[in-house]
Amino acid sequence: MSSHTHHVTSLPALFATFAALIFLTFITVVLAAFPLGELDMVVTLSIAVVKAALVALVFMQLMYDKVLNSVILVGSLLFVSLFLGFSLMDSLQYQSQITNFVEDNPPAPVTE
Amino acid sequence: MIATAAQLQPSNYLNCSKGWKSWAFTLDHKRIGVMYLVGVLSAFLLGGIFAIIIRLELLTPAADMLGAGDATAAKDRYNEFFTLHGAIMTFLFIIPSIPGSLGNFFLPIMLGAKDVAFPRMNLMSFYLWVGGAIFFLSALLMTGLDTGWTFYTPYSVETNAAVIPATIGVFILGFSSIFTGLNFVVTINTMRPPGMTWFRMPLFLWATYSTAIIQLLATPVIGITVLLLLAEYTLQIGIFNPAYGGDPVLYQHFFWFYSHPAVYIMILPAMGIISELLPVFCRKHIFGYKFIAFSSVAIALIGFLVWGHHMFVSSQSKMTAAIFSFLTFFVAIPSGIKVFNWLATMYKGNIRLATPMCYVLSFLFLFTIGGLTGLPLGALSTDRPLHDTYFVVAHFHYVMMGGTLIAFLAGIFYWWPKMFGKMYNEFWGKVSAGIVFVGFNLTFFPMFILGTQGQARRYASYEPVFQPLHITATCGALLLGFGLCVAAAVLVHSLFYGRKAPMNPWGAATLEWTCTSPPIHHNFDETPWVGDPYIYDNLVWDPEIEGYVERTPSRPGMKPLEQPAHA
Amino acid sequence: MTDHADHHPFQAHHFDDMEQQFDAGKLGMWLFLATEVLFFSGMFVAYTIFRVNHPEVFVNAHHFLDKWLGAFNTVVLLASSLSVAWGVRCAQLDSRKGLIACLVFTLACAGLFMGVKAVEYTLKFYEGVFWAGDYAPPAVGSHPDLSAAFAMVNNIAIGTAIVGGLFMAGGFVSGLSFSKLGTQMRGWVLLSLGVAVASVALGIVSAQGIQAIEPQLEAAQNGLKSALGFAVETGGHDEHGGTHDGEHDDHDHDKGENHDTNKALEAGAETAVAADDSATLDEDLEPFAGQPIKVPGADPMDPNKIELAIPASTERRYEGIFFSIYYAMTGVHALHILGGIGVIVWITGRSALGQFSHAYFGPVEYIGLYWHLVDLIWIFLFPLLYLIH
Repeated sequence: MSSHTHHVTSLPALFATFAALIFLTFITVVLAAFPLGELDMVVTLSIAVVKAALVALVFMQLMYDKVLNSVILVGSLLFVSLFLGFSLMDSLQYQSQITNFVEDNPPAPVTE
Repeated sequence: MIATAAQLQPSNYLNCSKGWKSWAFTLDHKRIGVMYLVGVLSAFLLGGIFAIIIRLELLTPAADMLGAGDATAAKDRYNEFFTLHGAIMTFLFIIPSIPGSLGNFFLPIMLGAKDVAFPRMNLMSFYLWVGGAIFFLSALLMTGLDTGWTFYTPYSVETNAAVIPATIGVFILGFSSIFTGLNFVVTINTMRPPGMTWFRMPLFLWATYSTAIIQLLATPVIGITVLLLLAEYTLQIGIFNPAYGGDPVLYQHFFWFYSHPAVYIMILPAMGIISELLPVFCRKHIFGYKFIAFSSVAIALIGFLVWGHHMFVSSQSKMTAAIFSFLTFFVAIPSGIKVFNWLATMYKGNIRLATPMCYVLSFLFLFTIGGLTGLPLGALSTDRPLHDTYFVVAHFHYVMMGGTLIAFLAGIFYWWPKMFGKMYNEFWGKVSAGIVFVGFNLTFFPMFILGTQGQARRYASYEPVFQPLHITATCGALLLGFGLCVAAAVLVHSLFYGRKAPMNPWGAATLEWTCTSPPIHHNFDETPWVGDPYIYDNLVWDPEIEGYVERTPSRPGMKPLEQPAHA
Repeated sequence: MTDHADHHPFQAHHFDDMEQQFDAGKLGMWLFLATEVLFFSGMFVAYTIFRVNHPEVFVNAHHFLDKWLGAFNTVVLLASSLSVAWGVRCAQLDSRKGLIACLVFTLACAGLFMGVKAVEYTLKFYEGVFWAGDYAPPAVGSHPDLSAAFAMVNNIAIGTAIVGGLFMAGGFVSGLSFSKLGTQMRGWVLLSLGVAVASVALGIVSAQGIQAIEPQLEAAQNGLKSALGFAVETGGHDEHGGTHDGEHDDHDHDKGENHDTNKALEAGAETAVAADDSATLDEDLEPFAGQPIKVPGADPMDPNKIELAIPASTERRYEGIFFSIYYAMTGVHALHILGGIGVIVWITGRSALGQFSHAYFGPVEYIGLYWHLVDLIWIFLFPLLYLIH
């Protein structure tokens, strides 16, 4: 094993990535103060995804690495979305039952 | 046979080093496999004793035996016994059983590797299993555990039972399982010797590989689930507890996201064993190799899409239930592919009814019943009346026990000569298979009838009208226990009095049979030659050593390379 | 470090060559990271489900969190990620000094992160902002006296500074040298551990510094907003300049715009809450202000008391769940940081022994991947918990 078979990330690449990450953090913090309404979650999470992708591709070297490692990461995220998707779908559907129950059973007064 | 001096040395993995430390700190996958075997079988014994106690309580309609006449005490006791029976059998026995013991022992050898990729992690996995077992036993010795193995909230966060040690135990066992799975995936991916392509791998490896994928992707979720449950119990974080606005149905989603795929952790390695044994005892190439291989992967992946069918009667929404019910039927396709391929392998085969094959046939029968009775449970409409009845109990025992346990026994009988270098008594081995088969059906078939008649599960008492069937089941359980004792006696007897096993007693073509029995410490003296694992033409019976030897393929126009000296 | 042409001293017997060993280790690490992703997924699922079903509550509750501290921690973790990646590069280029420097810097960042977390947790504990079971937040508009909390935080800072200093001193006494091989492991292990612990104190100091300048930060932010033509809807930030409870006033002021999604719960509330009136929720909560919300039947030790009771304020009830999830997510994440610190300390010691080179740098790379994943998770935790409206 010698270093020429493994990618050595150059310092400019590392620092450029870091700078981009800091910049995106700054943007997302500042944007949080702006009333973006519906777009807010989309924008904030998009920035998070871009940051995550930068870390994964450059710092974790997925860009230069075996495809299998990317497949593992993306695959695990697919299973997370499966988990999330089904649970969320179900929860949204039965939520009205909970709400109805709460309405039918008015809050008990707090007793000390 | 020309034997070099090295081959004549009796050194093998069992006697190459001595003393308890050589076992406790071993990094040899074979010794770890043997320790796992002892461990999981001890857990099985404990879980089995609980099962017998449950069945004895159910001899009479009233809850009496466990409370010495006091019905409330008897019911409390009964709850604890069925909980620990379920929890021990699932977490301590059936999930680690085949991967931990036979998988650890044979996966590297069948692959042609010297060891698994991370031997220390492998040993760690075993000790984590031991740690998890200790926590479970402490739960048993403290105040017992009466939540059912599923730990459903809110009851599990309100009971005085020993939820804390039990959940810590599950958490630790999860790590044990993850380490095993991680080792298997890395070993198969990176340590295949030259010539061992993906499609030359024995099907047992495909099965354990698929199992390992599930172990890696599903087990972390049970880890976080029990961690949150632990926090729920100790700190009342409220996520799963309706008293604080939490959502108990969400807990069930969390739990079954792991626990349904875990069902395939249990059954897939068993299917792998069957795929391995059938062609050997039919002397015929496996039918549909790629179909069996890919159906293992398919089961592993589809297994993640169906967990909601455990929640049909627990506030799950109608649409979600319908979708899960629909998806459930897709599991039947790869399972069916496997069964058809096994039957096709047997067709016109030269079937030899050795002990392992008797267990394999038993598996085919029982697993098919178990699988088919799963369909009415996966269908939304028929599940409603059958949910939480003995029909469910019978169904999953047919799959888990009739499937996994029987296949595990088949595997143990098949590989026993290789693991310990001793042949057991064939006659009594077959007798044990027969008794287990009869006892099993006697125990669990009546439960299908009980379930359709409306007998709910998890009750210590029942209507007197059900008593005849319950008595039948209890008698069957005792017979089944006796049969398992016979099997154990046959194996233990062979250790002391069995004749020495040849290298290849069954005429199998996978790599482990090219090792000595038992294998040497480093498995192979030289990197083995990898061929098709299911071609038996070159293997001929040698009555002198009572085993199979490899014959140099003689083709027309081709002279043998070398004549043996004594020819 | 030179090695034999065919057999490196760190090659395990069951691998054919170093390349195979490296590949196996790296694949194993990636699979482990996949299990970590799935492990955290449980909490993300819980977060999403409660957030989607009770968005207004989450948006209100997250104002208890200090986004400036969260942002600071994000930068700290990103810097540690950079240094770990740089460390891998140093190992690949046989630069032992660079590798050790990078690892020690990473440990300092980890300590900083934990220090800031310590401040956040301690303040919340003293305010009564616990998980659902013990959730007893301060009354709306009140300014709880947190001097005890600050005393506690300062004690932690002094304690960690002393302990860290002792470790570092021990490291120096044990002898540190870049030139001699084989004798510095203990010294570097002690020193790097000391750096990590002492950085906790630094983190605590930094967190308090940030809290002190938060009014200026808010003012700068509002200045930017008005410069860009957005309305600055709050006017109250200057009233309590310099105090630590500025975030509570965010809580009050930002409420108005988030009420409109609250239809279902409002319908059942005793008082109809006008969707656009930011004052009514406070009134709604007034009878319970400052009181712990007791839930009858919630005592796990007494099953007889169980009867499903709905707390008087459904909003506050789900706020408790928000903080349960907050503590679960950040707590488990912090445990991962602590685990990472332990391993990096060990790797630092091995680096001091000169064990890593272009021919063998697997362990550095594996711990780097782990550290990046912990960073990745924080990249999502930060906006989800601290920022989203």
